[in-house]
Amino acid sequence: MLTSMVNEVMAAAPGDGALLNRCVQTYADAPVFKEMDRPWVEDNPFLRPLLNCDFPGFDTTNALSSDQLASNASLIANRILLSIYERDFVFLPRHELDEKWENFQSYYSDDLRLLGEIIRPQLERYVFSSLKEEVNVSGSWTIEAFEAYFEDFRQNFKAVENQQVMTAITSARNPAAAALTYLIQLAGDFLVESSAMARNTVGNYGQLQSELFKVVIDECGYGVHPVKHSTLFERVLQSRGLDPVPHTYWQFYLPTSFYVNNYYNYICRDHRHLFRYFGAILEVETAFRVTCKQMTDMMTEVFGHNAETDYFTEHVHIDTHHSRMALENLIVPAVKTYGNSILAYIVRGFEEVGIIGTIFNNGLKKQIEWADSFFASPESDSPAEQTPLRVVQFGELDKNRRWEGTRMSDVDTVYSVRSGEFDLVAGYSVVATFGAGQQVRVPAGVLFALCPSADCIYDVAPAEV
Amino acid sequence: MRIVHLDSGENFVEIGEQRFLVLRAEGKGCHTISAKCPHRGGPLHLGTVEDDGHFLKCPWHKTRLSIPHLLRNSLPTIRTRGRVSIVVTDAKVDETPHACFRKTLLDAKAALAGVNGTP
Repeated sequence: MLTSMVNEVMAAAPGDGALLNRCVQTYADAPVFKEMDRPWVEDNPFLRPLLNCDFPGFDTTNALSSDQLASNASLIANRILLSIYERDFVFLPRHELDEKWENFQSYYSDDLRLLGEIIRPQLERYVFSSLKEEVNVSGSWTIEAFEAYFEDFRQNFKAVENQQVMTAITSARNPAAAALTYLIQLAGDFLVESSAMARNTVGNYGQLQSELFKVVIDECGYGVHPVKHSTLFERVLQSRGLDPVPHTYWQFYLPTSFYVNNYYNYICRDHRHLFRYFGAILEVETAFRVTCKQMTDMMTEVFGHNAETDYFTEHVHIDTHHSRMALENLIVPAVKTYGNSILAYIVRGFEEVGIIGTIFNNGLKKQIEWADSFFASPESDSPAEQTPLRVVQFGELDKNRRWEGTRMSDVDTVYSVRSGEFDLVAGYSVVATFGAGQQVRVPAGVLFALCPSADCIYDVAPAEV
Repeated sequence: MRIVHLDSGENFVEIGEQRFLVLRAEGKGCHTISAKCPHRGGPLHLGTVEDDGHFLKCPWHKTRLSIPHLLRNSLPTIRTRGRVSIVVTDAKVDETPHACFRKTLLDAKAALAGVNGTP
């Protein structure tokens, strides 16, 4: 099937939107993207489940607007994009390859690679077009003007939006559950940390290449595995009982979290965006030292003074250096060598990182607040408010229920149980059970899954305004 | 050098004795140019746009100025979503910028009509 589709595309006219949509469907039909009957992926980084029911009607012709990035269409596109990008990276399970051998071969197969490359530019346009409209750079930029602008940013950056997410966690009815939701969203990126940027360390572009490589060396822990940044984050996850294997929680990633991860792959994979990346790395390294301090404080407040925070404290320290290195050793010499005209691209990358950060924080804050609403308010004795929730440990979903997979709610929707029961999964370890006669409203812009019992019949209707 | 951040809608900046106008039009980017006519310092923000956005006429001496040429000397400017940031390159550190909205400002859409979008 894949091979015949590749041949058909090779013979088709370029830009055939309908054909590209069929390519996306065919790509998603590959076994490694098959729906799963459980909410997690167990030690198999090749499996990237998608929902078959999402694809009829899925159309990538018209790009997503910025207010559609927290939609189900965005979730589908971003899931596929990351699976395409990450085929350039090496993944292996922690244990036992024999029974995953077929998945291993399939994920890295030529057919999937070819088809992925055919649909990638279309998906990138679909996902990232709105970002181009969000930023405009004009005027006669010089390195002095850029340094002044950067210094103003550095001195005034307070990570207000990140702090709002931290506050949403620490002031939640169940701060621990909210913190786990947060850590899971970070896992998609942090467990493969620096892989996207490492795409810019190969080739030959003189001293700049070696300067960027120094940053990557830090990220990789100088070859000392226990201090590799992704290893530090594995320890954060393990300390909270979470699985450190990349993409175990694939089905729980929000589209807005995928989006951030995909952005770095997008600008690093296409080397025409190299200078855009130089701006992006400067912003992220400068901002991350501040946000990581906030994350450290949040972890300590939620989990106590023994909370595992080495990942975050390491970045508070090293990113002060990385910020300076990005400016002094990458951007200044690059402008000196190639002229002021590259500054428009550097500024664009710098600004785009701020925007994707906003998108990430908004999506996550909404999810955390919604999931937390299922927990009983400490001030409330209302039994109705306390009835639906049961907190489950990972892997303890009722086996007699059918896992329908996670999706985004695009409009405020009411789910009403006629008979039987369903579990509404509002996030990791946030499961609310609803029985006959009960209903629940799922707002637009949140990720959820339903697990109906075998005898469950439920109705779905748009919520009345 | 000073960094000036404008709120949504603000289109005029005064800093020391300098005045700047901020031209925004959908698909045409956002540009900051000096409001001082290079001829005799006339108030360009009160000028009129001619020839489909290719020229700006100063109200004092009717000097016709090429808009693409004016934009080539525009200030480093960033529009990110609704926010606009400008690097005023020759401002003194102790000069406080004042930004505002001026209804009487020349029509940005007309002024940028002949301009291509920026990268």
